[in-house]
Amino acid sequence: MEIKLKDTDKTSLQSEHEIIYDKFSKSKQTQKEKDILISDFNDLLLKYSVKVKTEFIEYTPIITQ
Amino acid sequence: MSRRFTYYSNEASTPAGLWTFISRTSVAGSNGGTTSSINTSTANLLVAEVASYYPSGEPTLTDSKGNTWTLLTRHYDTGLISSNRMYYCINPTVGSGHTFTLSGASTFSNMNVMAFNNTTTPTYYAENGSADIGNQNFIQTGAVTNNLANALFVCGFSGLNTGVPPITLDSGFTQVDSFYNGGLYIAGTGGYKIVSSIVTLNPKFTWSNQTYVSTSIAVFQ
Repeated sequence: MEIKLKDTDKTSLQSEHEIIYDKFSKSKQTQKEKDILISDFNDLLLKYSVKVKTEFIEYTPIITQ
Repeated sequence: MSRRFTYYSNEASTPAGLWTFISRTSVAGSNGGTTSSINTSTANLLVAEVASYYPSGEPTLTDSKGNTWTLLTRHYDTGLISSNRMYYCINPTVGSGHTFTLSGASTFSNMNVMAFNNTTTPTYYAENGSADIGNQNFIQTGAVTNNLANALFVCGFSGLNTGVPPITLDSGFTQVDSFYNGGLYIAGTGGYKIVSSIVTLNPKFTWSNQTYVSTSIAVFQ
């Protein structure tokens, strides 16, 4: 069984990602801004990975298929 | 924590022919994307290593020649961040202007496609892979061994963008494109190695401060 985000969560993920990325794509980025972008992006990925794990009450033990 | 698995096919092998690398291409994007075109006219094996963000589901791989791809094991870390999977196609439809498309919303994915020729019909032989969530500076794919001389090894890597570039690959592999752009996609890279004897390979991807990484490796003969 593949574990993945619900469609509604995926839509939220897309929206939040667009906000993060738009903030930095409008102007030339300094290295510091790039670092913030990477950090924000990583936080977003971590946040939704927690969501996908906790929203499934029953999910397959973590094994490769 | 690290997990490693080895799988071997039961296919009987014919004497392995000689391998030649033909061409390669790659793509990366929040929703995947389409590669630049390559000429695969003389190829009889296509291999793609695909890195993607696990929670969004797996991106779909298609190509402009309408080939059917075989998927090997999807390896992913227990934090459910990165995944890496190898795809291959033996005796594909080939030609000039060959492109490859990875599709999947918010998969934050990247892919390296490699085309090879073997003087006989290629066969898939074995695969392995690994994953790790901890902060360390390297991960090995897990060992694989060919059973005929003249084999091809292809490997791939995925990870959260916490490391400091570059990602390097050892064991004499030719490294293909690397992707680090935190903000658009997870990190990824891959490589290949052609050998003329029976060897056990367990290549190491090194990346400063890596987290949530996964790898895969496959052998063709």
